[in-house]
Amino acid sequence: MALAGSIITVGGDLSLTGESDDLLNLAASDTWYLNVTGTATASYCDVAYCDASGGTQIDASDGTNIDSGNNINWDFGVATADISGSTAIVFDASGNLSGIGSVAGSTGVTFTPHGNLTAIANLSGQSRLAFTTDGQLSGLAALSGTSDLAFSATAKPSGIVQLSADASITFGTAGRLSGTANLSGQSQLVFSTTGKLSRTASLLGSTALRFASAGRLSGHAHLFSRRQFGPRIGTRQVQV
Amino acid sequence: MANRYWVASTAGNWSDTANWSATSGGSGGASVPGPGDTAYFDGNGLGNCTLDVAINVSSLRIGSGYGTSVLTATHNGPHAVSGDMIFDRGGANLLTSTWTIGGDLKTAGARYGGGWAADSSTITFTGTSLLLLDYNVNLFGNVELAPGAYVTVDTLWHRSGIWLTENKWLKIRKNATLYIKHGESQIDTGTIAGTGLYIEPGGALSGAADKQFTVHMYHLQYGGIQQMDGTIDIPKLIWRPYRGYVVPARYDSATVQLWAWGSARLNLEPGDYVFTGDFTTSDGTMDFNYYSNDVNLEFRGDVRINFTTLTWRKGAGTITLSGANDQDIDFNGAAVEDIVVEKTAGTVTFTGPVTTDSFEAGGASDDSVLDFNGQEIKTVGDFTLGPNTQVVAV
Repeated sequence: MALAGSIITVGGDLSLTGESDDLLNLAASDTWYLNVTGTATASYCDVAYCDASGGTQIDASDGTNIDSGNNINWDFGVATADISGSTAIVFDASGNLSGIGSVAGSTGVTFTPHGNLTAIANLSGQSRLAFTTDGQLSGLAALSGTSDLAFSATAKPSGIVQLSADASITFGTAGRLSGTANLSGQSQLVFSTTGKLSRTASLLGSTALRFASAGRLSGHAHLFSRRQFGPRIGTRQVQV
Repeated sequence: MANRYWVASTAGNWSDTANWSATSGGSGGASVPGPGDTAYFDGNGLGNCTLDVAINVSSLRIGSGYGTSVLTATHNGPHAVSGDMIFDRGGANLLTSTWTIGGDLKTAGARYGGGWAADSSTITFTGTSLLLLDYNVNLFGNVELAPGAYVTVDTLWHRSGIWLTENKWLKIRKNATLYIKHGESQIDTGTIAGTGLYIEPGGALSGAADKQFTVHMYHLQYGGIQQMDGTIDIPKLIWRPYRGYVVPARYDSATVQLWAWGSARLNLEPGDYVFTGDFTTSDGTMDFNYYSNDVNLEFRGDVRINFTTLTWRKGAGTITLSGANDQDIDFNGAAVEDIVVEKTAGTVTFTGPVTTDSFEAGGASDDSVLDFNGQEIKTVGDFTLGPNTQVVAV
């Protein structure tokens, strides 16, 4: 049975505290219940299948806890990580990264195949943030230097993307950018095959917006200086 | 040192020299047995003997030839036998007399002779003694082990042992030991002040691997365990109150079992109770900690509360789960005091629901593993899991 099925009802305050190198393991295999009347805090805990809907929301927002899923009425906040040096982080299953503070140097973060990055990513230097298959970036990515944000297959970044210097974003196959892209310097936004840019794009300087094959721009683009287009311009107005 | 033989053919008094001979079946007129003498009762003098004076002998031996004849203590003594007191036949009626025995007491043969009646007597063992008992000749009045005495209780029948009848006391004085080797033993404390079980510092009640000792309790004010400053580590200690109480102490029995006798009440005195073994119960009806005293209960073994109807009266104390052994904890849904887990090792597994004033584990003195095991744990106050505990998650 372990935790599954357990019902812990707390008339006062709840305090769950593990250690940074030894998290308090509360990751059950099936639903267990926490019903708290007073305050409820958790630090250094790994939690799963905890239904706390019968009482106070569990405050687990200090960035030390792991949300291992299927938790109800828990606030895990948004965790951020700063990645630098030559570190490579690879999510090869359904890894979720709920936040990256910054990626710098020659580091890389790869999501294969279903990774989700829900918060802001700032890439600089020669760093690379790669999504394969169904990876999604729902926050804003700011790229500079020769950093590279690569989406393959049906990856879909839905946030605002800012590219500067030699940064590039590459979409593979049905890649689609539904957010706003701002390009400057020699940055590139490349759509291959049936890639779509459905929102406004602003290109400055020697930036490039490339659509290969059936690429399509359905949004509103502001192009200045040397701009390149693929075979098809969508229905929206393009200003040159 | 001399031998003296009882030669009276009819009932007579101990003090009458005419009843004593220097040889078996010899002429009477020898001196009455005294200190250093052995008094024999054999087939050459079948008259009943009345202890009309306080006797003091080295040994008292009732041989198989004495048949159904009986020694009756009309004088309360104190009577002293510095060595053995052995009944291979014959019998004894000690009435209200008091005795000190330095050697063995073997009553086994009295079953086939004149019987053993000692319910109102007081016997004090002063040395290293074997108490050899037989079926239905196992009743005593008060029993005391003098300081440093060591008494082994042995029986010829499984359902026999040292049985102290109602309103009696068993005193195990300083550094004395009562060891239950065979049979079942018990004390029936009653409604008279001063009855019960007393164990002084260094005193011990112990027993062989499968032995038990039962404390029957009749009265909340009087009966029960009155003093426990030594050790009780007989494998199974049974508290069996109708009304009764036990004092705060460390109880080392592998199992302390609380039996409900009818609609039972158990009073706990204020203080610390430590159970190094398991604490279990019978079913039935129990009113626990009847006066709601402030008691601290420390359990180092399993807790299994199985009463059909349980009233758990709380004071301001704490329940501590401690030690290094794995523990199964079942309070059977009772609402209990604060629970604190302070283990050096081992897993605490909840096998039943509980409501507690508060729950704390993982503090500085804890290194436990908790298995909530799908149970319902309620706290009136706070629930705290600190960094020094682990939880069995899957």
